Amino acid sequence: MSPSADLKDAFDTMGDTVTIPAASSIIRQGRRRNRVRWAAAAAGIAVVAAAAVTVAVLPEPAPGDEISVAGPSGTSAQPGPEVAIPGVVAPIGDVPTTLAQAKARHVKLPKVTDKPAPVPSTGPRVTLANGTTTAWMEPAVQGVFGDQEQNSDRPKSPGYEPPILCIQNDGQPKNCILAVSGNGNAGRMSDAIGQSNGWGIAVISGPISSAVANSNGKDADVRLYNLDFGYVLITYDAQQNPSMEPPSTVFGERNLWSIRAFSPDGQLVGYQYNHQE
Amino acid sequence: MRRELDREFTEFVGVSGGSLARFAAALMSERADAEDVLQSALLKAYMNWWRVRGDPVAYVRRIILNERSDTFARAHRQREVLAEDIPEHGSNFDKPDEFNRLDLVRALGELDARSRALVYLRYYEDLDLAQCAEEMRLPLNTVKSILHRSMRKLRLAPELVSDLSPSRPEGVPK
Repeated sequence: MSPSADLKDAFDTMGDTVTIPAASSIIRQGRRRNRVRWAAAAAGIAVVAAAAVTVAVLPEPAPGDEISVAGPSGTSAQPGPEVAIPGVVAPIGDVPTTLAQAKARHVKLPKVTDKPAPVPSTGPRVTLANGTTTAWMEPAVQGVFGDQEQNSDRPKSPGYEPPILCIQNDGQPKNCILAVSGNGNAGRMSDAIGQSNGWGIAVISGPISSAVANSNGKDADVRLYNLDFGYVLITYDAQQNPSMEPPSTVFGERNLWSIRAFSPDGQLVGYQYNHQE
Repeated sequence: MRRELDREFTEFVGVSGGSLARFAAALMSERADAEDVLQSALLKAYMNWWRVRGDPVAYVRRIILNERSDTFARAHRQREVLAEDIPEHGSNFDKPDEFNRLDLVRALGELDARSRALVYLRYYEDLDLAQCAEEMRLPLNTVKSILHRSMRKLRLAPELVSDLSPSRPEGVPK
């Protein structure tokens, strides 16, 4: 093979591993972003992205605030008792530099970006917060919230709707506004997802395993938070579960996350950082 | 009107997606980053599709280049911190995964991003040197120098580098 052909072959090898997002996904995101932009412009608010709007109108936790997030212990296969994780919000930018520091504190990630989150191939595993209900959220169910085509079989491609659902305590899914944020590879962020129905707003930074997961082993790929005003918030952690290989490479080596949950009246009800072990 | 634009865009992604993915892969050192910039670039391209003139592939490549710059700037501002134990590894070119089936891929991974992008434009897309310079917004001689150095690092056959010697003004000794 000629050197030039060798080069082309090498670039082909590199390019073949990059998933090309579906045009339909891009178009859908573009329309949504345009809608938000136009709406914001009409309201006289300068915004860039839907998520920025969502975050901007929410109360931010102040440094020193005592906070707590509760969730189930155990795994989805063996749900355990409720675990509440208390913590104190650290100043913005005060990110721990070692794992030991991270373990000792709750921190706030300083930045929200606007990349979409990838989706696990099997659908997130759900454990309801009361510890009695376990279910697999199949791709078709995810499709209620995102895009079934996107969620079904191509977990690695960017542009997918994040596998984040709002579910009532009775296990029925409800629409809600969610924004996912974070940074780096793992900070693939979505715009606001779904429709508001009064169930409140949750802002999640990065894929979560949270201290709840940390207290219960490393196999958790989904964590669900039962918030005391009636909806639960779930997301997943791919890094903790090697069997969920596709997202793990997407998330790379970034490993600090946070979660913030807000009640319908805008009150912060939960705030949690996460690290990987 | 919008349907027409959507149809055009869909067709564009279908036809040129592979080329853009290769360019993103050439530019970024990790697959996930390449997917990120490709995703962002296509989204921006779609939102401005109605005003794209000329070669849309070159247009999106330019967005990808800008996205890469933005990504690095963001990463700097965010001051990302890694834990002491890295839970897993990304898909760097120097890791033994599918990126590295060929030694040449590994060697390409050792070039800096700008050099890789130039090598890609020159030897994959077959752009001439002037076109490479225009796309990368670099002086022609800089392009030649970068390509020359890159080819030497890649240790490829000399016939590939024959046109890469930076031109010198008359009277300047070699």
